[in-house]
Amino acid sequence: MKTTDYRPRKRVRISKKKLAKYNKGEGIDLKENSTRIKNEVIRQKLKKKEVVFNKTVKDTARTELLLTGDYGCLEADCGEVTIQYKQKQIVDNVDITAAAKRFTLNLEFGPYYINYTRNGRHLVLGGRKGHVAALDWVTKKLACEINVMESIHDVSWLHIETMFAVAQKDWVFIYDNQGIELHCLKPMYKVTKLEFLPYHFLLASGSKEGYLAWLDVSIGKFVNSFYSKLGKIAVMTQNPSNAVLCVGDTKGVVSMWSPNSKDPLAKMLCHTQTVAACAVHPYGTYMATSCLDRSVKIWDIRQLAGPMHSYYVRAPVQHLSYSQTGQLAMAMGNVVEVYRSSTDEMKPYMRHRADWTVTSMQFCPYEDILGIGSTREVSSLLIPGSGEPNFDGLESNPFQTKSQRREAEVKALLDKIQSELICLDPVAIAEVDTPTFKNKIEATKDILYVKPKNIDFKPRRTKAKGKGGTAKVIKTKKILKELSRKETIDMLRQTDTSRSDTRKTEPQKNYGILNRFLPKSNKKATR
Amino acid sequence: MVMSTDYLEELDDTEKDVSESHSKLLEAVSQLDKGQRVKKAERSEPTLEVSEFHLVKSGICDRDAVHVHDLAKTLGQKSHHHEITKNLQAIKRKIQVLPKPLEKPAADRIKRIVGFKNTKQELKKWNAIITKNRTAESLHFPLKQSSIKLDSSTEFVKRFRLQSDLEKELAALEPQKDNIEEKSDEFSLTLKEIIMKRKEAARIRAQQSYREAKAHRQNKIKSKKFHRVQRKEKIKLQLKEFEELQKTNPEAALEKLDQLDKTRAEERMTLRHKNTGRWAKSKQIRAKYDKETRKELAQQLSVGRELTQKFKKSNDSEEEDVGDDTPMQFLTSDKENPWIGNVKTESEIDQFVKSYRKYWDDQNKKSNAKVEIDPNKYINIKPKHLNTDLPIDITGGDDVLDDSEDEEKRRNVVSEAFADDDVVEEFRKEKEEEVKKAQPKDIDLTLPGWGNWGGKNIKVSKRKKRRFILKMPKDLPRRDENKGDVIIFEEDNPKIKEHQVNELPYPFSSVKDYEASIRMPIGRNFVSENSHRKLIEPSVKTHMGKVIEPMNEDILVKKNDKENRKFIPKRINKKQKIKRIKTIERIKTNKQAIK
Repeated sequence: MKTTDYRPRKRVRISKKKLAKYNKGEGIDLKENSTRIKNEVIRQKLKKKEVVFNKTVKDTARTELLLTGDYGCLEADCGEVTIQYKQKQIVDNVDITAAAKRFTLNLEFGPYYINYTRNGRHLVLGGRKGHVAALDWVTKKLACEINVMESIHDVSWLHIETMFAVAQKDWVFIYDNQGIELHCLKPMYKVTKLEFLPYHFLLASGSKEGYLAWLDVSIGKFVNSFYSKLGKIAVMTQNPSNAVLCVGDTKGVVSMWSPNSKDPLAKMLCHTQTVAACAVHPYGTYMATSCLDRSVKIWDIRQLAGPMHSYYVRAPVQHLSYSQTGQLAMAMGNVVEVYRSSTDEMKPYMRHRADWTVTSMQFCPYEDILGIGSTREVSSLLIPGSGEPNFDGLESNPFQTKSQRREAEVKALLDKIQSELICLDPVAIAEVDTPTFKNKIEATKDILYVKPKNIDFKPRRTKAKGKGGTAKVIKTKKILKELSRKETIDMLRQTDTSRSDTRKTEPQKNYGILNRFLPKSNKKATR
Repeated sequence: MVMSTDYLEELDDTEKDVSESHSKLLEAVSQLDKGQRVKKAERSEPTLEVSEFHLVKSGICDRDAVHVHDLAKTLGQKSHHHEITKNLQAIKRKIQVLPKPLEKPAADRIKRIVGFKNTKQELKKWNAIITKNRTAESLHFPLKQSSIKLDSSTEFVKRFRLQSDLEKELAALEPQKDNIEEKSDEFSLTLKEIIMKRKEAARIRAQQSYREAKAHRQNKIKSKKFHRVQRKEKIKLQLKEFEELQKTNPEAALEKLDQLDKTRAEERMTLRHKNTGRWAKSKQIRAKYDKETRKELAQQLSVGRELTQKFKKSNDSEEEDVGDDTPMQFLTSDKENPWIGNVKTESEIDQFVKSYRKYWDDQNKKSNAKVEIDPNKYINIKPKHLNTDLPIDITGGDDVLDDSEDEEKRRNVVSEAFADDDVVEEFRKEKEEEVKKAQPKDIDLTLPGWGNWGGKNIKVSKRKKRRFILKMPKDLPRRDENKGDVIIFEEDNPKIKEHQVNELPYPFSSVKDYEASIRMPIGRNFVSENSHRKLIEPSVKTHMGKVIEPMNEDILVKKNDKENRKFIPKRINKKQKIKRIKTIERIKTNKQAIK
């Protein structure tokens, strides 16, 4: 047998799925028959560029090889379910470092609000009665602890762990990690909610009187402030993918706000009653909302469509939080439940019964930890498989040293995104402003002796992406909707007629406008 | 004539010396006359010797010249004299007068044409390297860099070996071989070059003279028939060449075709061969009576027709024939009755219907599969009940319940009380209003009372409505059109517009292409380090302190070592060749179709 030792140097094959993940779509049309680029030399150059792009996609897909970590999860034995495992059982069975991450702080200064830094290393907690503490929660090293002698409504870290903002009775204050007051932001008056937009360096706030305000913390300038006409802003989160604020109001509407327009960018009617909580997936794909009528709904926030899922729970959900791996935590009174999303539905994963009513909740980034602030304590729960196992050191590094932090701060400032770019569609900046362009071309048509350019205005991205967005499909959708509605109406009618016969016997009193305060069974009858 | 000879004789007798000056005078007088401005061409050669064999200065007419045969006349009838005359006659027969040189502009033109052609050929050698540089992703200047091949450490150390005394002495004694070799090399090279250069120069000269001679000869020919024949021959030759080129070099063939088309177009543009010229008109008068002239005129017209005719491809005609074949066959099958030739039998019809039905069903199936609407998605999904734990009502002690908590509770109560208020209806109304607001309204430009009666309750006339109300397009597509209870406020965001591109940069003429060209992120946060460097590489790199010299011909020299050879030209195999030819033919047919 003769064997050849020579083997061509081959690189590891990349799966098509991975390539598709990093592929940025169709390239420039350079085919001889259909290309619009006439110059041969330039066409050659662009061809070479396309080759580089293809290589880049492959290289980037290949770097996934470096993501060695993989998130795990709890798996129940036969006849058991994961939901029945208590925190104590988990702590007993995990390694000592993980077990050390579960802790409870018994504190006395009222309901607590918590916030983790972006790298998940530091924790700031603020009690309603003025207690503020910042700590490295992994090593339990306290950075500062003060009492501001005022009521506190929310706390939030700024871009680094040396500064945090506290919404106090009247104004928002910024403290450093030693507890020294750095700034008092008087234009942010009676703030109830704080959010920090890390890429834009914006501190956003929603106030009791319904004002939304954005402060650029890098230059200390107020970007904008609007009256939202929504009443007290009690529910406010950011969509991390496009830095738009999602504000829930008492009418069940979630509205999306950017600092660039005094009207919201979009409004979604999510519930028929007050929105109690709202959380957005870290990748900006889903939004979960809950309502006082005990419903929880999951929405597709990219398409602004839905609900994808709709659930009824047994008690109204007051707080929601999404983990990096897509687990959803709900807090109802003193109960915290974590759900995993599988293919078509949410499956219960963990359940925890706290000692006190939960007032604030956040998954810790890059850790399998869910932080809870309640009326009398702050604690962290172990939720296996909730944190992203692979961190990007250039993006956010949990093991950051002081010098790295300084460097990262400078780099982040250099990469700062202007607040003007905040809009619903984060990739709009990479698109050509065709209406203006069309107008320009139209203007040249009127000029004598100037030949208007022959330009193809068709955009690269069509609105109906992937799925057929033709008019025909939409029509059929409408027809289907109409049909389903008719069916339900028919069903209702049938049931109504059967019911009405039985109920007509009881005479009812009519209270006029006050009927709405009657118990529901009576109400229907009076109508 | 007789008179003049007498007169000459008289002159001979009396004033022979004056003849020369007289002829000069005559010439001067004739110059005063404006009839002939251009002098007859003369050959003149400056020479110091004076003899009858040399050319003479101007001023002497041919009449005065003493010819050899004049001298021979005077010889007697002796045998050796006879021989001389014979020789002279033989010489006279052999003598060929050199052709008159071309006029200077014409000669220069030819020289220029040849020169241009050669320079063009010469410059072609740069094409490859220029295209390579122009299409290069990045250029490092200076272009010609010494190869950065690292020596192995042992080799590197070898260079620093100390020479022993003996070695030094030996080195001194040893003749410098290398230099000699180099010299011999140089010499041989230069000699070759010289020979090459000489050959080249000779070739150019020969070409030039040959062309001159040819042009001269052909200019002289006055026969129209000759020219006609020649032209026809030329066309034939061109066609032949074209056909040959089609097989060998399709691109060149295409160029040729263009050229031929051009001549046709020119012919069509001008009035040549249309019998509109002066000559034709004069002939037409005579044409009624003369058969010859009629023939000539007809010929002219036929030439014009021939030139303006399109080139027809032989292949095309063949194809057409093939296309015509099938129905012909069908017809021949029932020759008796051509009227029912197309009628088919019942079975045939049935078959057709069946197959068509099958086709139709298939199509429908396909289209159904494409749509694939899941009705469950669009009907409002039924909420599921999650079996969650019930919280214990913990108030957290009396001290926690402050006024804010109270307030929240109150709010909850209120919101529960208003639970059945039609929030949905309200929201839909808001959406409708928003849609209406976003729709552009018609612009009414009517002036009340203008061209009509004014006053109350007077309707605007239809004509006015049609003319003065600018109608805006209705029902512009909205993003939230089919999304249910979602309002998207579609105001143009002027702030982001400032940052967006609103003009396409040079090579792009389609928005799609431009957007595709900027689709790839280049930051190192998004792509791997290597790709990042590749993506941001500058197109031109220079090194500080290094002189960038212009390219010289050394760059053209192909390096022999295999390591430097990267580019291996692709060999075009037969299939590709055929494909190329086919595409060219297709282009041609397209062109003809356009015409």
